[in-house]
Amino acid sequence: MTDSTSDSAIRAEGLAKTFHDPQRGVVEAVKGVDLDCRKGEIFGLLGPNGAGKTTTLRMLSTILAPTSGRALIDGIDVAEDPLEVRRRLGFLSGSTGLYPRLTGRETLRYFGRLHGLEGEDLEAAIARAFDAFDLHSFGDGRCEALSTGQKQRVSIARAVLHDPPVLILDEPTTGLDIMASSDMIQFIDSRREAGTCVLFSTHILSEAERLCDRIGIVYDGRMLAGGSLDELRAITGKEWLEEIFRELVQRADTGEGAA
Amino acid sequence: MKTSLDVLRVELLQLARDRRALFSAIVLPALLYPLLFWGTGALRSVGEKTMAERTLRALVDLSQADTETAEAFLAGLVDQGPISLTEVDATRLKDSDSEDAQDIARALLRPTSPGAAETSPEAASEAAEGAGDRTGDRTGDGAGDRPDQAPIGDERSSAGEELEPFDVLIVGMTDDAPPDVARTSFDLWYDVKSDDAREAMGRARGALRDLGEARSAERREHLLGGDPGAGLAPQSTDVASEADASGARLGMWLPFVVLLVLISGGAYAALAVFAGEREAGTLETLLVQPVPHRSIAMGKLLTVFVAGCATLAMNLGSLVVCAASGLMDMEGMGGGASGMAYGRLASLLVELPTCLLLCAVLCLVCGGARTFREGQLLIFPVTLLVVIPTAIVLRPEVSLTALWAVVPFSGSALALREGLEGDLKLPLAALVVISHLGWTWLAVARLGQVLDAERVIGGGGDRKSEGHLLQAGGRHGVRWGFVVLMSVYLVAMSVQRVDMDMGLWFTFWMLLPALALAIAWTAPRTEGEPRRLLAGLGLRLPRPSHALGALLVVPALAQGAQRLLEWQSKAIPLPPGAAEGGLELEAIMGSASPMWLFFFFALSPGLFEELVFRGALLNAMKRDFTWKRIVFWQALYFALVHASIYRLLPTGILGALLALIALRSRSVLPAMLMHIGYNGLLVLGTAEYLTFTGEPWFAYAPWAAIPGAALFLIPPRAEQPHAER
Repeated sequence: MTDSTSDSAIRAEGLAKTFHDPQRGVVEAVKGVDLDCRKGEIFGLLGPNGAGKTTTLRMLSTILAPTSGRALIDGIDVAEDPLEVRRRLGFLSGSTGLYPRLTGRETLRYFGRLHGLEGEDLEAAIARAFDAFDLHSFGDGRCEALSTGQKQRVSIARAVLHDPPVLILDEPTTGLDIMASSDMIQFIDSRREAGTCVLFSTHILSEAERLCDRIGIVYDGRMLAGGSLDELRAITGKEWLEEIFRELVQRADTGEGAA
Repeated sequence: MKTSLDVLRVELLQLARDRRALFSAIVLPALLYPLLFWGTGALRSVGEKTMAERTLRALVDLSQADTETAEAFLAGLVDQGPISLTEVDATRLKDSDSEDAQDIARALLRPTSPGAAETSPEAASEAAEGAGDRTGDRTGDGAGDRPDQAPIGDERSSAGEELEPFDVLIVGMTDDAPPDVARTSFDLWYDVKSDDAREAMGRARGALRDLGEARSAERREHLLGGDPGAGLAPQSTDVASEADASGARLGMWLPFVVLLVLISGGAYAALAVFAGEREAGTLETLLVQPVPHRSIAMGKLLTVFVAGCATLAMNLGSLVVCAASGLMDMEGMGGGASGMAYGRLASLLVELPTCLLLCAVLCLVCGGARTFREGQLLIFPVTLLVVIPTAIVLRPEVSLTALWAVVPFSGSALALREGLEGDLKLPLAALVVISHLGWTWLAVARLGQVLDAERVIGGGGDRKSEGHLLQAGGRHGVRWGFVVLMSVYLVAMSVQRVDMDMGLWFTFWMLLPALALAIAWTAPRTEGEPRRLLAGLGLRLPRPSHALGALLVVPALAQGAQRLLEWQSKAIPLPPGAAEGGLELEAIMGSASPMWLFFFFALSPGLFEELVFRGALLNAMKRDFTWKRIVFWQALYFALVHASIYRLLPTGILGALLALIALRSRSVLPAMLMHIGYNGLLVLGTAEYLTFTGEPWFAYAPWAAIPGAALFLIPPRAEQPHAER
């Protein structure tokens, strides 16, 4: 099923995921997440470790099948046409996910070909990525020899090589030094102007506060609240994001529920 | 295909830049045989030369041996190599019991200065005294002389210090019989830990052997005027060509080499492209690209295949070079120096689809591993999985038939053996190729499923996945089914071969119940669900109608099995080995009592095979599998566990029917009744203990199957509710 009429780039309705763990039995990692992320919008999923952020992003990027609920990427149902969804998606996992013995250029060429780019189009896309992410000084060296920041830049270049309308980033600044982290934040910020919808997960409050048009607070597999910072302030009556987060978590723990 | 080739190119590039992969896949296989043959040959010749040149030290006491024999022996010993002979009085050694004798001999071989005794102080000092009386040195420089004597004190430096040990103590004694029939015996004492002692022992034996042969020849000549057995010495001539002979020998081990080398080369590649990539996070990235997972799986499979074949080519190339250059001992291959029929190596082509199948199995195994290390642990079972069916080539009486051709790994191994022997028939070779390609196709389809992101990323090994939730019980059943098979093949059958009664007791009353309990005990449960062992074993009370129905079906089932076996024996002639096995079984059935037969061939299997298969395994599978899948696995495992290709069909059908009955009745008990009845009727009927089977009315008994089957229309008892999942 497709729904291309709205300006919604990512939409999730009641998205849930149940795992089975031999020790713990059935584990409900995500318990019904609703999400609406528009084109040109940066949406941050904020939550502690184990809250269900990564599982939600994996369902949206077709890696995991939802146990229940529905998700649309650029109007296309992830369960019904995963290949088409992947064509419109740039995905950056928690790890850099680079082949250690390929060069940056070879990596871009490989993933470009998997996205159907060929010949001059492919080389032009690689050249643009080299310019945009300043890969010239290290892009022809093997990835295993690159620094963490350099690897992250190659990874981002790989994720956006085919110019996807939707970008999903799983904790993109985790493990990066200050400079690399700053570069990443600048990159995410720049995608807003390009009209790309960026959905990223983080547990760094300052990052979310600075970057996001809207923020979703995820805790214990549930979306406690979602909206702009002002909307979240109105819901909780708190000023700072850290206070807002604590307030929402406290309400969830005491069973008061959330907006 | 384009995607697969892209994946192949990149994966091969990765492997080619990996020094470990290059070393294990290319360099090591190429150097293995030259190093092995050259190295072992060089080491052996150097070792032999060194030892032959070594001057050894022997203590001898030939005082009670007749002079002629003693001198002849000493001359022969000196001819074997340089040796220093020291005479000693070993009278106490001859008079001692075996334990004391060892101590005395040890003390004599390792003399110490006075006052020091290594072993039994008494024995050692006595021995040292004895030795001190008559020891003397002589380096062998000719035959016929007694050893020289020299004071032992010459070799001593200070009191209590260990002197240079002797390598062998030789004690000869001639009995008191008349000279014509007197026998001289030699006792040789040595310490196996010493290289020199082993060499000295070898030389002494060699001298005695030569002396013995010379004396025997003299004696025969003297008494009989010649050797009466000379004409009976066989003169055998092998009419097979050198190529046939070497092919027959090669065929016994080349199938193993091919598959094991392929595993050694392909395993690293499979681990790298699946488990390694999962660990590095590249697999997750790859699987969110807009290409079908099956294409990715195919690309990775081709990578493993290319890597494995490269290793194989290097290995076999190295083998051929070693054979052609004379580095490898071709005599041992059953032919002369030019014995290897290189042209027949073309029959290796028939192994190619098998190699592809093996690579697919490697990919399947590594695709389920979370980490490189976990994958490494899974390679050993794969090796077993391949080696066991390939071992069929070690049975010379088994030849390639249409039936064997379709058995994975066995068919191709037999085809390769017959190809090397020059006997491979083209239609059978084609059947082997086609059937193994078919198996590969099935494995690739399964690999595509394994690569479904949910299992891989969640992942295949990461049990926190929806796939796992849906398949946990099913997988448990399938894995344990394999364990049951292997346990029966490797343990139960071995014990039965040693002792039939003990083996049957062990199999039915110990091994199978233990397996059933282990399967039920470890079956997956949901959170908060109690462990219900009886339910896990299928031990629920069935409806009486279902129990009765199971019994009523028995005569029809037994008659059907007999008809099937009769038809099968006409369609597929039994090989000589199987026919002999059948005769053995008939002999057992003819000689055993009806109680023994019923107990071991009906009651015990009926109880405990059912407890394992329709009890523990079926109930584990039932959690997740559809009834069709359960019936399939039950039929397959039940057929395979009987380890007879000629009973494959009847036991497979029986397994499927028993599974259906257990599913319908929700209890293992009707299946037990049916199994006991079926086995009892067949075994006791064949042994002619059941006279009623010959009665006219019994011809109508199979019709009871109709009301029997109808009874299963009655719904089963309701199951107790499970805990919420």
